[in-house]
Amino acid sequence: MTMTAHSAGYRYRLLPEVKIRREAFGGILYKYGCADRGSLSFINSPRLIELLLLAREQFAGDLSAAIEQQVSSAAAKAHLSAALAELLKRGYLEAEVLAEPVPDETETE
Amino acid sequence: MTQFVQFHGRRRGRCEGQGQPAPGALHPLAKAAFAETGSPLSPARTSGSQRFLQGGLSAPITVTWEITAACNLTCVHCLSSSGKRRPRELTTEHALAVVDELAEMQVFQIHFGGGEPFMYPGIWRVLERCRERDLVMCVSTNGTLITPERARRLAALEPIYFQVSLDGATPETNDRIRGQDAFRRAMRGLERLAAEGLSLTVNSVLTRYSFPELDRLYEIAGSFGAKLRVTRLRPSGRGRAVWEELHPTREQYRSFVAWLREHPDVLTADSFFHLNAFGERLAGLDMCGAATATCCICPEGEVYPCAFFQTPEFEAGNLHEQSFREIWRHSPVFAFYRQMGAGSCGGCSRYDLCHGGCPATKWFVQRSLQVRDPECVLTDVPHHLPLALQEASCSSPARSEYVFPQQA
Repeated sequence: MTMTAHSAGYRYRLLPEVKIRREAFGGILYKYGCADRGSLSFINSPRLIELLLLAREQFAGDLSAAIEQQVSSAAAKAHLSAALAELLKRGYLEAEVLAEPVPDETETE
Repeated sequence: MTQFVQFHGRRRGRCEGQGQPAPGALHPLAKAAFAETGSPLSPARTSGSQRFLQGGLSAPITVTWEITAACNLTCVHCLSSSGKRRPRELTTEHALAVVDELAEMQVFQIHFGGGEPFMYPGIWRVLERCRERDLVMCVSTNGTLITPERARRLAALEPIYFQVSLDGATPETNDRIRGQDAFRRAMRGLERLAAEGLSLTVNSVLTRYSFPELDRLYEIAGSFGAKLRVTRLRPSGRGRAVWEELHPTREQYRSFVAWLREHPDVLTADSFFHLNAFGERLAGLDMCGAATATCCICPEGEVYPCAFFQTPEFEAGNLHEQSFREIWRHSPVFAFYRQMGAGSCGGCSRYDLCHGGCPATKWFVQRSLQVRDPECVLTDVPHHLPLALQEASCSSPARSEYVFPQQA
Protein backbone atom coordinates (compact mmCIF):
# COMPACT_ATOMS: atom_id res chain seq x y z
CA MET A 1 0.00 0.00 0.00
CA THR A 2 1.36 3.40 -0.85
CA MET A 3 1.48 5.72 2.11
CA THR A 4 1.32 9.18 0.68
CA ALA A 5 1.22 12.29 2.77
CA HIS A 6 -1.41 14.82 1.73
CA SER A 7 -3.42 17.71 3.11
CA ALA A 8 -0.40 19.56 4.37
CA GLY A 9 1.17 16.63 6.15
CA TYR A 10 -1.76 15.22 8.12
CA ARG A 11 -3.23 11.80 8.11
CA TYR A 12 -6.94 11.98 8.96
CA ARG A 13 -8.91 9.35 10.80
CA LEU A 14 -12.62 9.34 11.38
CA LEU A 15 -13.47 8.98 15.06
CA PRO A 16 -15.33 5.73 15.76
CA GLU A 17 -18.16 7.43 17.64
CA VAL A 18 -19.08 9.60 14.68
CA LYS A 19 -22.24 8.50 12.91
CA ILE A 20 -22.87 9.24 9.25
CA ARG A 21 -26.14 9.22 7.37
CA ARG A 22 -26.86 9.97 3.74
CA GLU A 23 -29.51 12.58 2.99
CA ALA A 24 -30.76 14.04 -0.28
CA PHE A 25 -28.61 17.14 0.15
CA GLY A 26 -25.51 15.14 1.10
CA GLY A 27 -25.59 13.83 4.62
CA ILE A 28 -25.34 14.33 8.35
CA LEU A 29 -22.46 13.82 10.72
CA TYR A 30 -23.40 13.24 14.29
CA LYS A 31 -21.40 12.95 17.45
CA TYR A 32 -23.44 13.43 20.49
CA GLY A 33 -23.74 12.84 24.15
CA CYS A 34 -26.04 14.53 26.59
CA ALA A 35 -23.06 15.19 28.84
CA ASP A 36 -21.22 16.82 26.01
CA ARG A 37 -22.13 19.61 23.65
CA GLY A 38 -22.07 17.07 20.92
CA SER A 39 -21.85 17.84 17.28
CA LEU A 40 -24.28 17.75 14.43
CA SER A 41 -23.36 18.94 10.99
CA PHE A 42 -25.27 19.04 7.76
CA ILE A 43 -22.88 18.37 4.92
CA ASN A 44 -23.99 19.51 1.51
CA SER A 45 -21.48 17.41 -0.37
CA PRO A 46 -22.63 13.89 -1.26
CA ARG A 47 -19.12 13.22 -2.47
CA LEU A 48 -17.61 13.95 0.92
CA ILE A 49 -20.24 11.83 2.64
CA GLU A 50 -19.39 8.92 0.34
CA LEU A 51 -15.71 9.35 1.13
CA LEU A 52 -16.42 9.29 4.85
CA LEU A 53 -18.57 6.18 4.47
CA LEU A 54 -15.91 4.53 2.38
CA ALA A 55 -13.32 5.32 5.02
CA ARG A 56 -15.56 3.83 7.70
CA GLU A 57 -16.56 0.71 5.78
CA GLN A 58 -13.42 -0.23 3.89
CA PHE A 59 -10.51 1.52 5.56
CA ALA A 60 -11.32 1.19 9.27
CA GLY A 61 -11.82 4.93 9.50
CA ASP A 62 -8.63 5.90 7.68
CA LEU A 63 -9.94 8.83 5.68
CA SER A 64 -6.62 9.58 4.11
CA ALA A 65 -6.47 6.08 2.67
CA ALA A 66 -9.96 6.48 1.24
CA ILE A 67 -8.97 9.76 -0.35
CA GLU A 68 -5.86 8.23 -1.82
CA GLN A 69 -7.98 5.59 -3.48
CA GLN A 70 -10.80 7.84 -4.69
CA VAL A 71 -9.32 11.25 -5.37
CA SER A 72 -6.62 11.61 -7.93
CA SER A 73 -6.33 15.24 -8.88
CA ALA A 74 -4.16 17.55 -6.84
CA ALA A 75 -6.75 20.32 -7.19
CA ALA A 76 -9.49 18.15 -5.74
CA LYS A 77 -7.23 17.10 -2.88
CA ALA A 78 -6.40 20.69 -2.16
CA HIS A 79 -10.07 21.53 -2.11
CA LEU A 80 -10.75 18.67 0.26
CA SER A 81 -8.11 19.83 2.68
CA ALA A 82 -10.23 22.81 3.74
CA ALA A 83 -13.18 20.54 4.37
CA LEU A 84 -11.05 18.14 6.38
CA ALA A 85 -9.67 20.96 8.48
CA GLU A 86 -13.22 22.03 9.26
CA LEU A 87 -14.28 18.52 10.20
CA LEU A 88 -11.20 18.24 12.40
CA LYS A 89 -12.09 21.50 14.11
CA ARG A 90 -15.60 20.24 14.74
CA GLY A 91 -14.33 17.10 16.41
CA TYR A 92 -15.24 14.44 13.88
CA LEU A 93 -11.69 13.54 12.88
CA GLU A 94 -8.35 13.09 14.48
CA ALA A 95 -5.20 14.03 12.65
CA GLU A 96 -1.81 12.53 12.88
CA VAL A 97 1.03 14.75 11.83
CA LEU A 98 3.14 12.93 9.33
CA ALA A 99 6.88 13.04 9.53
CA GLU A 100 8.72 14.44 6.54
CA PRO A 101 8.74 11.56 4.10
CA VAL A 102 12.10 10.05 3.42
CA PRO A 103 12.18 9.10 -0.27
CA ASP A 104 13.07 5.45 0.17
CA GLU A 105 10.65 4.94 3.07
CA THR A 106 7.44 6.08 1.37
CA GLU A 107 6.69 2.65 0.01
CA THR A 108 5.57 0.13 2.58
CA GLU A 109 3.73 -3.13 2.49
CA MET B 1 -12.92 13.96 -9.07
CA THR B 2 -14.37 15.43 -5.97
CA GLN B 3 -17.28 17.65 -6.68
CA PHE B 4 -18.73 20.05 -4.21
CA VAL B 5 -22.20 21.31 -4.62
CA GLN B 6 -24.04 24.16 -3.06
CA PHE B 7 -27.20 23.09 -1.34
CA HIS B 8 -30.20 24.94 -2.66
CA GLY B 9 -32.85 23.51 -0.39
CA ARG B 10 -35.76 21.33 -1.31
CA ARG B 11 -38.78 22.28 -3.27
CA ARG B 12 -42.23 21.58 -2.03
CA GLY B 13 -43.51 18.24 -3.18
CA ARG B 14 -40.18 17.02 -4.46
CA CYS B 15 -38.97 15.34 -1.33
CA GLU B 16 -38.29 11.75 -2.13
CA GLY B 17 -40.13 9.40 0.14
CA GLN B 18 -41.88 12.12 2.09
CA GLY B 19 -45.25 11.62 0.44
CA GLN B 20 -47.80 14.29 -0.26
CA PRO B 21 -49.97 15.81 2.40
CA ALA B 22 -53.49 14.52 2.45
CA PRO B 23 -55.42 17.49 3.75
CA GLY B 24 -58.56 15.47 4.35
CA ALA B 25 -56.76 13.40 6.96
CA LEU B 26 -55.83 16.35 9.07
CA HIS B 27 -57.77 17.37 12.12
CA PRO B 28 -59.81 20.45 11.11
CA LEU B 29 -58.15 22.61 13.76
CA ALA B 30 -54.69 21.58 12.59
CA LYS B 31 -55.66 22.15 8.97
CA ALA B 32 -56.88 25.66 9.73
CA ALA B 33 -53.87 26.42 11.88
CA PHE B 34 -51.38 25.35 9.20
CA ALA B 35 -53.29 27.27 6.53
CA GLU B 36 -53.10 30.47 8.59
CA THR B 37 -49.32 30.37 8.55
CA GLY B 38 -49.27 31.05 4.83
CA SER B 39 -47.06 29.62 2.12
CA PRO B 40 -43.78 27.96 2.96
CA LEU B 41 -40.71 30.05 2.42
CA SER B 42 -39.16 29.63 -0.98
CA PRO B 43 -35.82 27.85 -0.96
CA ALA B 44 -34.12 31.12 -1.77
CA ARG B 45 -35.47 32.65 1.44
CA THR B 46 -34.58 29.85 3.79
CA SER B 47 -31.55 30.29 5.98
CA GLY B 48 -29.50 28.60 8.66
CA SER B 49 -30.60 25.13 9.66
CA GLN B 50 -33.89 25.65 7.85
CA ARG B 51 -32.22 25.07 4.49
CA PHE B 52 -31.60 21.49 5.46
CA LEU B 53 -34.60 20.74 7.61
CA GLN B 54 -37.46 22.30 5.72
CA GLY B 55 -38.15 19.26 3.61
CA GLY B 56 -37.66 16.76 6.43
CA LEU B 57 -34.85 14.27 6.76
CA SER B 58 -34.94 10.61 5.83
CA ALA B 59 -35.24 9.83 9.54
CA PRO B 60 -35.17 11.83 12.75
CA ILE B 61 -31.84 12.67 14.31
CA THR B 62 -33.26 12.13 17.78
CA VAL B 63 -36.48 10.51 18.84
CA THR B 64 -37.93 11.46 22.19
CA TRP B 65 -39.70 8.44 23.56
CA GLU B 66 -41.99 8.87 26.52
CA ILE B 67 -42.09 5.20 27.20
CA THR B 68 -44.55 5.28 30.09
CA ALA B 69 -46.84 7.78 31.71
CA ALA B 70 -46.26 6.17 35.08
CA CYS B 71 -44.41 8.43 37.45
CA ASN B 72 -43.84 8.51 41.17
CA LEU B 73 -43.75 12.33 41.15
CA THR B 74 -46.43 14.78 40.07
CA CYS B 75 -44.47 17.81 38.90
CA VAL B 76 -46.69 20.84 38.45
CA HIS B 77 -45.26 21.60 34.99
CA CYS B 78 -45.16 18.04 33.60
CA LEU B 79 -45.38 18.36 29.83
CA SER B 80 -47.15 15.02 29.50
CA SER B 81 -49.37 15.19 32.61
CA SER B 82 -47.80 11.98 33.82
CA GLY B 83 -48.76 10.04 36.90
CA LYS B 84 -50.53 6.75 36.20
CA ARG B 85 -49.65 4.14 33.64
CA ARG B 86 -51.99 4.32 30.64
CA PRO B 87 -54.04 1.37 29.39
CA ARG B 88 -52.63 1.03 25.85
CA GLU B 89 -48.96 1.55 26.62
CA LEU B 90 -46.71 -0.37 24.23
CA THR B 91 -45.75 -3.84 25.36
CA THR B 92 -42.08 -4.61 25.76
CA GLU B 93 -42.13 -6.75 22.62
CA HIS B 94 -43.66 -3.94 20.63
CA ALA B 95 -41.17 -1.47 22.06
CA LEU B 96 -38.28 -3.75 21.04
CA ALA B 97 -39.64 -3.88 17.50
CA VAL B 98 -39.77 -0.09 17.46
CA VAL B 99 -36.14 0.07 18.58
CA ASP B 100 -35.22 -2.22 15.69
CA GLU B 101 -37.12 -0.06 13.24
CA LEU B 102 -35.48 3.14 14.48
CA ALA B 103 -32.07 1.49 14.16
CA GLU B 104 -32.83 0.40 10.61
CA MET B 105 -33.83 3.95 9.74
CA GLN B 106 -30.49 5.15 11.11
CA VAL B 107 -31.95 7.30 13.84
CA PHE B 108 -28.94 8.44 15.82
CA GLN B 109 -30.29 8.80 19.31
CA ILE B 110 -33.26 7.85 21.45
CA HIS B 111 -34.06 10.06 24.36
CA PHE B 112 -36.15 8.16 26.88
CA GLY B 113 -38.46 10.05 29.16
CA GLY B 114 -41.93 9.71 30.50
CA GLY B 115 -43.29 9.59 33.08
CA GLU B 116 -40.39 8.05 34.84
CA PRO B 117 -38.67 5.59 32.48
CA PHE B 118 -37.64 3.31 35.32
CA MET B 119 -41.31 2.64 36.03
CA TYR B 120 -41.68 0.97 32.60
CA PRO B 121 -41.54 -2.79 33.19
CA GLY B 122 -39.48 -3.51 30.07
CA ILE B 123 -37.03 -0.63 30.37
CA TRP B 124 -33.96 -2.83 30.83
CA ARG B 125 -34.68 -4.93 27.78
CA VAL B 126 -35.35 -1.82 25.73
CA LEU B 127 -32.11 -0.17 26.83
CA GLU B 128 -30.16 -3.35 26.18
CA ARG B 129 -31.65 -3.60 22.71
CA CYS B 130 -30.63 -0.01 21.99
CA ARG B 131 -27.12 -0.91 23.07
CA GLU B 132 -27.10 -3.93 20.77
CA ARG B 133 -28.31 -1.79 17.88
CA ASP B 134 -25.72 0.93 18.50
CA LEU B 135 -28.30 3.60 19.21
CA VAL B 136 -27.14 6.40 21.46
CA MET B 137 -29.28 6.38 24.58
CA CYS B 138 -30.17 9.24 26.80
CA VAL B 139 -32.45 8.74 29.78
CA SER B 140 -34.28 11.59 31.41
CA THR B 141 -35.10 10.57 34.97
CA ASN B 142 -36.22 12.15 38.18
CA GLY B 143 -33.43 10.18 39.84
CA THR B 144 -35.51 9.01 42.74
CA LEU B 145 -35.55 5.33 41.75
CA ILE B 146 -31.82 4.98 41.15
CA THR B 147 -30.50 2.40 43.57
CA PRO B 148 -26.80 1.50 43.79
CA GLU B 149 -27.62 -1.80 42.06
CA ARG B 150 -29.43 -0.07 39.22
CA ALA B 151 -26.60 2.38 38.78
CA ARG B 152 -24.14 -0.50 38.45
CA ARG B 153 -26.37 -2.21 35.92
CA LEU B 154 -26.69 1.00 33.94
CA ALA B 155 -22.94 1.43 33.88
CA ALA B 156 -22.73 -1.81 31.93
CA LEU B 157 -24.81 -0.21 29.17
CA GLU B 158 -22.40 2.63 28.39
CA PRO B 159 -22.35 4.73 26.36
CA ILE B 160 -25.56 5.92 27.95
CA TYR B 161 -26.32 9.42 29.11
CA PHE B 162 -28.51 10.57 31.95
CA GLN B 163 -30.42 13.70 32.63
CA VAL B 164 -31.52 14.07 36.22
CA SER B 165 -34.11 16.75 36.79
CA LEU B 166 -33.65 19.50 39.35
CA ASP B 167 -35.84 22.54 38.95
CA GLY B 168 -34.17 24.54 41.64
CA ALA B 169 -30.95 24.59 43.59
CA THR B 170 -32.71 24.38 46.92
CA PRO B 171 -35.37 22.03 48.29
CA GLU B 172 -37.72 24.99 48.61
CA THR B 173 -37.56 25.95 44.94
CA ASN B 174 -37.29 22.45 43.51
CA ASP B 175 -39.93 20.79 45.66
CA ARG B 176 -42.41 23.55 44.97
CA ILE B 177 -42.32 22.26 41.37
CA ARG B 178 -41.48 18.60 41.75
CA GLY B 179 -43.06 17.65 45.06
CA GLN B 180 -42.06 16.98 48.63
CA ASP B 181 -38.62 15.49 49.17
CA ALA B 182 -37.91 15.37 45.44
CA PHE B 183 -34.74 17.46 45.83
CA ARG B 184 -33.13 15.15 48.39
CA ARG B 185 -34.04 12.02 46.44
CA ALA B 186 -32.79 13.44 43.14
CA MET B 187 -29.49 14.41 44.76
CA ARG B 188 -29.16 10.86 46.06
CA GLY B 189 -29.79 9.52 42.56
CA LEU B 190 -27.16 11.85 41.17
CA GLU B 191 -24.67 10.61 43.76
CA ARG B 192 -25.33 7.01 42.84
CA LEU B 193 -25.03 7.56 39.10
CA ALA B 194 -21.90 9.66 39.56
CA ALA B 195 -20.39 6.97 41.76
CA GLU B 196 -20.50 4.63 38.76
CA GLY B 197 -18.86 7.23 36.55
CA LEU B 198 -21.90 7.57 34.30
CA SER B 199 -22.25 10.55 31.98
CA LEU B 200 -24.64 12.98 33.61
CA THR B 201 -26.36 16.24 33.14
CA VAL B 202 -28.48 18.04 35.66
CA ASN B 203 -31.56 19.08 33.73
CA SER B 204 -33.34 22.18 34.90
CA VAL B 205 -36.40 23.84 33.44
CA LEU B 206 -35.90 27.59 33.56
CA THR B 207 -38.61 29.32 35.58
CA ARG B 208 -38.78 32.75 37.11
CA TYR B 209 -38.03 31.05 40.45
CA SER B 210 -35.09 28.94 39.30
CA PHE B 211 -33.48 31.74 37.32
CA PRO B 212 -31.88 33.36 40.41
CA GLU B 213 -30.43 29.96 41.31
CA LEU B 214 -28.62 29.25 38.05
CA ASP B 215 -25.16 29.78 39.54
CA ARG B 216 -25.92 27.38 42.35
CA LEU B 217 -27.38 24.82 39.94
CA TYR B 218 -24.20 25.10 37.91
CA GLU B 219 -22.17 24.36 41.05
CA ILE B 220 -24.37 21.41 41.98
CA ALA B 221 -23.93 19.90 38.53
CA GLY B 222 -20.19 20.43 38.72
CA SER B 223 -20.03 18.73 42.11
CA PHE B 224 -21.22 15.52 40.44
CA GLY B 225 -18.92 15.91 37.48
CA ALA B 226 -22.02 16.71 35.46
CA LYS B 227 -22.94 19.47 33.10
CA LEU B 228 -25.92 21.69 33.62
CA ARG B 229 -28.63 21.55 30.97
CA VAL B 230 -31.19 24.31 31.11
CA THR B 231 -34.37 23.94 29.10
CA ARG B 232 -37.33 26.10 28.27
CA LEU B 233 -40.63 25.82 30.13
CA ARG B 234 -43.49 25.06 27.76
CA PRO B 235 -47.22 25.42 28.42
CA SER B 236 -47.79 21.74 27.60
CA GLY B 237 -49.59 19.18 29.75
CA ARG B 238 -49.85 20.41 33.31
CA GLY B 239 -47.50 23.20 32.30
CA ARG B 240 -50.49 25.03 30.87
CA ALA B 241 -51.90 25.64 34.32
CA VAL B 242 -48.70 27.12 35.72
CA TRP B 243 -47.32 28.83 32.63
CA GLU B 244 -48.32 32.35 33.60
CA GLU B 245 -46.89 31.96 37.07
CA LEU B 246 -43.66 30.22 36.18
CA HIS B 247 -42.40 31.36 32.79
CA PRO B 248 -39.41 33.71 33.03
CA THR B 249 -39.75 37.42 32.50
CA ARG B 250 -38.29 39.14 29.46
CA GLU B 251 -35.62 40.76 31.61
CA GLN B 252 -34.70 37.39 33.08
CA TYR B 253 -34.35 36.04 29.58
CA ARG B 254 -32.10 38.93 28.62
CA SER B 255 -29.91 38.21 31.65
CA PHE B 256 -30.03 34.52 30.88
CA VAL B 257 -28.52 35.07 27.44
CA ALA B 258 -25.67 36.96 29.06
CA TRP B 259 -25.29 34.19 31.64
CA LEU B 260 -25.09 31.58 28.89
CA ARG B 261 -22.36 33.60 27.23
CA GLU B 262 -20.37 33.39 30.46
CA HIS B 263 -21.07 29.66 30.81
CA PRO B 264 -20.46 28.19 27.36
CA ASP B 265 -20.40 24.65 28.73
CA VAL B 266 -24.05 24.83 29.78
CA LEU B 267 -26.34 22.83 27.51
CA THR B 268 -29.70 24.12 26.39
CA ALA B 269 -31.16 21.34 24.22
CA ASP B 270 -31.44 24.04 21.54
CA SER B 271 -34.64 25.05 23.27
CA PHE B 272 -34.04 28.79 23.59
CA PHE B 273 -33.69 29.65 19.92
CA HIS B 274 -36.51 32.18 20.33
CA LEU B 275 -34.00 34.23 22.34
CA ASN B 276 -31.81 34.57 19.25
CA ALA B 277 -34.04 37.51 18.41
CA PHE B 278 -32.19 39.51 21.06
CA GLY B 279 -29.53 39.58 18.34
CA GLU B 280 -27.05 36.99 19.49
CA ARG B 281 -27.36 33.56 18.02
CA LEU B 282 -27.09 30.81 20.64
CA ALA B 283 -25.34 27.53 19.94
CA GLY B 284 -27.28 24.81 18.19
CA LEU B 285 -30.29 24.77 15.93
CA ASP B 286 -31.86 28.13 15.23
CA MET B 287 -35.34 26.79 14.64
CA CYS B 288 -37.87 24.28 15.81
CA GLY B 289 -36.67 20.81 14.91
CA ALA B 290 -40.06 19.17 15.41
CA ALA B 291 -41.12 16.82 12.61
CA THR B 292 -37.83 17.45 10.84
CA ALA B 293 -34.94 16.61 13.15
CA THR B 294 -36.97 15.03 15.91
CA CYS B 295 -40.37 13.78 16.96
CA CYS B 296 -41.96 12.18 19.98
CA ILE B 297 -43.34 8.73 20.63
CA CYS B 298 -45.79 8.72 23.51
CA PRO B 299 -46.67 5.87 25.88
CA GLU B 300 -49.69 4.59 23.98
CA GLY B 301 -47.92 4.69 20.65
CA GLU B 302 -49.01 8.17 19.62
CA VAL B 303 -46.45 10.02 17.52
CA TYR B 304 -46.30 13.82 17.74
CA PRO B 305 -44.07 16.46 16.18
CA CYS B 306 -42.33 16.91 19.52
CA ALA B 307 -42.70 16.15 23.20
CA PHE B 308 -44.23 19.56 23.82
CA PHE B 309 -46.89 19.18 21.16
CA GLN B 310 -48.93 16.34 22.61
CA THR B 311 -52.45 17.19 21.62
CA PRO B 312 -54.90 15.15 19.53
CA GLU B 313 -55.12 17.78 16.78
CA PHE B 314 -51.46 17.25 15.96
CA GLU B 315 -51.17 13.50 16.40
CA ALA B 316 -49.23 12.28 13.38
CA GLY B 317 -50.11 8.63 13.79
CA ASN B 318 -50.10 5.72 16.20
CA LEU B 319 -47.71 2.79 16.40
CA HIS B 320 -50.60 0.45 17.19
CA GLU B 321 -51.80 1.11 13.65
CA GLN B 322 -48.78 2.09 11.55
CA SER B 323 -45.04 1.64 11.49
CA PHE B 324 -42.85 4.48 12.62
CA ARG B 325 -41.41 4.72 9.12
CA GLU B 326 -44.87 5.15 7.59
CA ILE B 327 -45.73 7.88 10.04
CA TRP B 328 -42.44 9.72 9.57
CA ARG B 329 -42.67 9.64 5.81
CA HIS B 330 -46.38 9.93 5.12
CA SER B 331 -48.14 11.60 8.00
CA PRO B 332 -50.11 14.65 6.81
CA VAL B 333 -49.37 16.36 10.12
CA PHE B 334 -45.64 16.02 9.54
CA ALA B 335 -45.89 16.98 5.88
CA PHE B 336 -47.75 20.18 6.71
CA TYR B 337 -45.58 20.90 9.72
CA ARG B 338 -42.47 20.80 7.52
CA GLN B 339 -44.01 23.27 5.13
CA MET B 340 -45.35 25.69 7.70
CA GLY B 341 -45.19 29.34 6.71
CA ALA B 342 -43.78 32.15 8.77
CA GLY B 343 -47.19 33.52 9.74
CA SER B 344 -47.10 36.96 11.28
CA CYS B 345 -43.33 36.67 11.75
CA GLY B 346 -42.76 36.72 8.01
CA GLY B 347 -41.96 40.42 7.86
CA CYS B 348 -39.74 40.49 10.90
CA SER B 349 -36.14 41.52 10.34
CA ARG B 350 -35.02 38.94 12.87
CA TYR B 351 -36.97 36.00 11.50
CA ASP B 352 -33.78 34.40 10.23
CA LEU B 353 -32.48 34.25 13.77
CA CYS B 354 -35.39 32.51 15.50
CA HIS B 355 -37.66 31.29 12.68
CA GLY B 356 -40.71 32.33 14.65
CA GLY B 357 -40.04 30.47 17.88
CA CYS B 358 -41.83 27.46 19.32
CA PRO B 359 -45.03 26.35 17.54
CA ALA B 360 -46.20 24.30 20.52
CA THR B 361 -45.97 27.32 22.81
CA LYS B 362 -47.93 29.38 20.29
CA TRP B 363 -50.60 26.74 20.07
CA PHE B 364 -51.10 26.15 23.75
CA VAL B 365 -51.12 29.82 24.64
CA GLN B 366 -53.02 31.28 21.69
CA ARG B 367 -54.46 28.32 19.77
CA SER B 368 -52.71 29.54 16.65
CA LEU B 369 -49.53 28.77 14.75
CA GLN B 370 -49.38 32.03 12.83
CA VAL B 371 -48.86 34.30 15.84
CA ARG B 372 -45.55 35.29 17.37
CA ASP B 373 -44.06 33.11 20.04
CA PRO B 374 -45.74 34.30 23.26
CA GLU B 375 -42.27 34.85 24.68
CA CYS B 376 -41.02 36.72 21.62
CA VAL B 377 -38.43 39.11 22.97
CA LEU B 378 -39.34 41.70 20.35
CA THR B 379 -42.90 42.21 21.48
CA ASP B 380 -42.34 45.91 22.03
CA VAL B 381 -40.09 46.44 19.04
CA PRO B 382 -41.54 47.41 15.66
CA HIS B 383 -41.01 45.03 12.78
CA HIS B 384 -38.39 45.88 10.19
CA LEU B 385 -36.15 47.39 12.84
CA PRO B 386 -32.62 47.21 11.47
CA LEU B 387 -30.41 44.99 13.55
CA ALA B 388 -26.76 45.83 13.44
CA LEU B 389 -25.71 42.64 15.15
CA GLN B 390 -27.52 40.34 12.84
CA GLU B 391 -24.78 39.84 10.30
CA ALA B 392 -22.17 39.18 12.95
CA SER B 393 -24.44 36.74 14.73
CA CYS B 394 -25.21 34.78 11.61
CA SER B 395 -21.56 34.20 10.98
CA SER B 396 -21.08 32.83 14.47
CA PRO B 397 -19.04 29.62 14.64
CA ALA B 398 -21.80 28.23 16.80
CA ARG B 399 -23.92 27.46 13.76
CA SER B 400 -24.57 23.79 13.39
CA GLU B 401 -24.55 23.44 9.65
CA TYR B 402 -21.61 23.64 7.37
CA VAL B 403 -22.00 24.64 3.78
CA PHE B 404 -19.11 23.86 1.58
CA PRO B 405 -17.99 26.49 -0.86
CA GLN B 406 -18.46 26.02 -4.55
CA GLN B 407 -15.47 24.49 -6.17
CA ALA B 408 -13.60 27.02 -8.20
